[in-house]
Amino acid sequence: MSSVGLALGRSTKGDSFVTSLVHALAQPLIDSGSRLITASVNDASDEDRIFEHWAEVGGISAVGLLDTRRGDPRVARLRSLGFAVVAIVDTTTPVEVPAVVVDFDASIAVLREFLAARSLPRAIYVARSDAGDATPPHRAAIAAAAAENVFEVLYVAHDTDSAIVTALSAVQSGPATLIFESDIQAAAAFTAARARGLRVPDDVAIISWSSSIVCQSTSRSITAINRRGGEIGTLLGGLALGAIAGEDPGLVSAPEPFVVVGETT
Amino acid sequence: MSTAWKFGRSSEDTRSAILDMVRSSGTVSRVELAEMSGLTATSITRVVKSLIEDGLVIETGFGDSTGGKRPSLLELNPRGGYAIGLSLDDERLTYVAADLGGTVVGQLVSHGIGQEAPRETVERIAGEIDDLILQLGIPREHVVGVGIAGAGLDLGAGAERLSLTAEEWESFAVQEALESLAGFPVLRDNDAACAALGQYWVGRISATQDFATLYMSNGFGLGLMTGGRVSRGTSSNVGEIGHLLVDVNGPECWCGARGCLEMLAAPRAIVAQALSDSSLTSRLDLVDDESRLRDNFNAIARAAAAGDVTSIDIMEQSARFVAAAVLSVVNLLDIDRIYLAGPGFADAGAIFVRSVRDVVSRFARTRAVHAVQIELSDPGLDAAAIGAATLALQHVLTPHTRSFRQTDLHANPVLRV
Repeated sequence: MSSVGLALGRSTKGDSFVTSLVHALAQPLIDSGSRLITASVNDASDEDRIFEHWAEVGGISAVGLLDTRRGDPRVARLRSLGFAVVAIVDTTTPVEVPAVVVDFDASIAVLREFLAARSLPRAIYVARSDAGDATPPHRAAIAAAAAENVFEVLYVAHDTDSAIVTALSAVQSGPATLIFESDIQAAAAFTAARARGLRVPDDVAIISWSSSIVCQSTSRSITAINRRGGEIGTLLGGLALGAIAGEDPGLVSAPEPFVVVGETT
Repeated sequence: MSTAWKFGRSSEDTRSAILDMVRSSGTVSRVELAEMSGLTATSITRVVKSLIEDGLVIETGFGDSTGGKRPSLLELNPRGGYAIGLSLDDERLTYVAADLGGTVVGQLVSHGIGQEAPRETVERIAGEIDDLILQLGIPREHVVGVGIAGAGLDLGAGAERLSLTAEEWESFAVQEALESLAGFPVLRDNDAACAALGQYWVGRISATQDFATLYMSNGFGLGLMTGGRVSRGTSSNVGEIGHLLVDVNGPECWCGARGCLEMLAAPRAIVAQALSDSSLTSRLDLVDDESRLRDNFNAIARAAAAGDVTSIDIMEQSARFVAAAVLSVVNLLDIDRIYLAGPGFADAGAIFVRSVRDVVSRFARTRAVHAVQIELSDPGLDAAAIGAATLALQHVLTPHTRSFRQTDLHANPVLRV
């Protein structure tokens, strides 16, 4: 029986995009009698060790890469270990393996459209100054959007408390929409804004870049972008089955993201 | 509702309770443990020493000084052992390997029970458990046990109705069969109880905080945690909330009653209503095929999250029935925290949270006395499997919190560390 392997970084724990992607990825595999195996890894060397271990013990036919970078050395490494490889890439990353192509600009486009339909005059994208988990293509898309005046970009510390103080001080001059890369920061900003007597969404509207359980569970649900993790997972599973069968299914485009309208906008 | 800590008399209970305090605290000093437990510093030092020697607790650094020597901080040793959790389901089997802290280190997903014969399935499960620990590089001797979460009713004598479609399971003692094949101690419980236990363990909830978890997969179940234990009932079937009557004139249920929550609000009911709308069916590419139940439900939930008005209406109707059921739970049990867990809440959980909060805050009999927190569960889509792993972890690490199912009383497995 063939299995598909996935090494998941510890930082993806609780990431609802990854959670729904992995859950959905299993479906085409089990429908065709295959299995999904995942392993949690701490860093790149840990990831390489698990790939080597899988090659040693056998049983895994294909490996999926979720955050493939330009010139990613893991592709050649996995091939040298005898695995078929499938990947998720962004539109700017050339890749030689079957892949689901995610377009960050599509997320920006749905955000732009959503903001245009709202009445608040300013929009501020709150980004971590140390880049955090955002990939270079993600950052490039944000920079391009800022250049087109979709929003301003405010760089804040990783620490949530100081990030919220900085973000909320930016709305002192008038109502604005704050867009947070982190759902945790978005939820904290919502709580802090209400504690300061700000009206949400009249004085400050809040959007999370990633839809999550946190966004759905706050006392007012937070508007967020659903990046279609489930459907991307299903596509990746289909590619993995094709790759195991020796086919080259090529590239497929991820479905367009959409805005989950909550009560904070 | 909360329960005050009361230590048992035995030293095992004391050790177990201290270990549970380390778990729920994350990191904690010996001084803090003494304050929390009421034990002397000497007793705490002795208990902690034995926990460190057994590899269950590690020292991770130093806390702030309060004038003297800086206190060393303790936490669970995550690599001290692993448990396997298995969620049994008609559609898929989900296995997770969790460390002592309840953190998932890997998983395996394969096809579900379907119409497979029980003996065949259990043989496959034993092989897949071996495959998982092999692929993760976990030594067999580090596996403390296996927990199983099933969707069904405990029928007594070791049998459990785990599948609605395969009746052979009703006379099959899965726990006993798997123990002999896998070579690990095996514990089992229903998926809702496991989801509650997973929330308790992974969410580091204190044993003094009681709560309930409403689990929605294809149907509903309610897991109830009181005093750090899963509540069981006379026949270990507490929490059959899917068969709570929410409309006495409602549709006939397969259980024989009318107007059960499951018939009015579960994914099957939601999908049936959506399929009756040809425009929605076409727009969402729904397929009138039982095997596509979850695909159809997920499509409706995603459409509702994206703002599709018809889909929102359908989900909100389901949410109103769920809210009515939760209100009854709150009124019956005087509970102040309820988690919503399971794949049914993945995409449109906010609709359910909003509806339940609204109804409970307006109509709970105790609304003037205390608030009731309604939250989506942390462990997310794999809550039952993660909870099943914690079933084994809890049995090993904190035996003072064990609460046996009726069948376990006849065949209580002794787990090893």
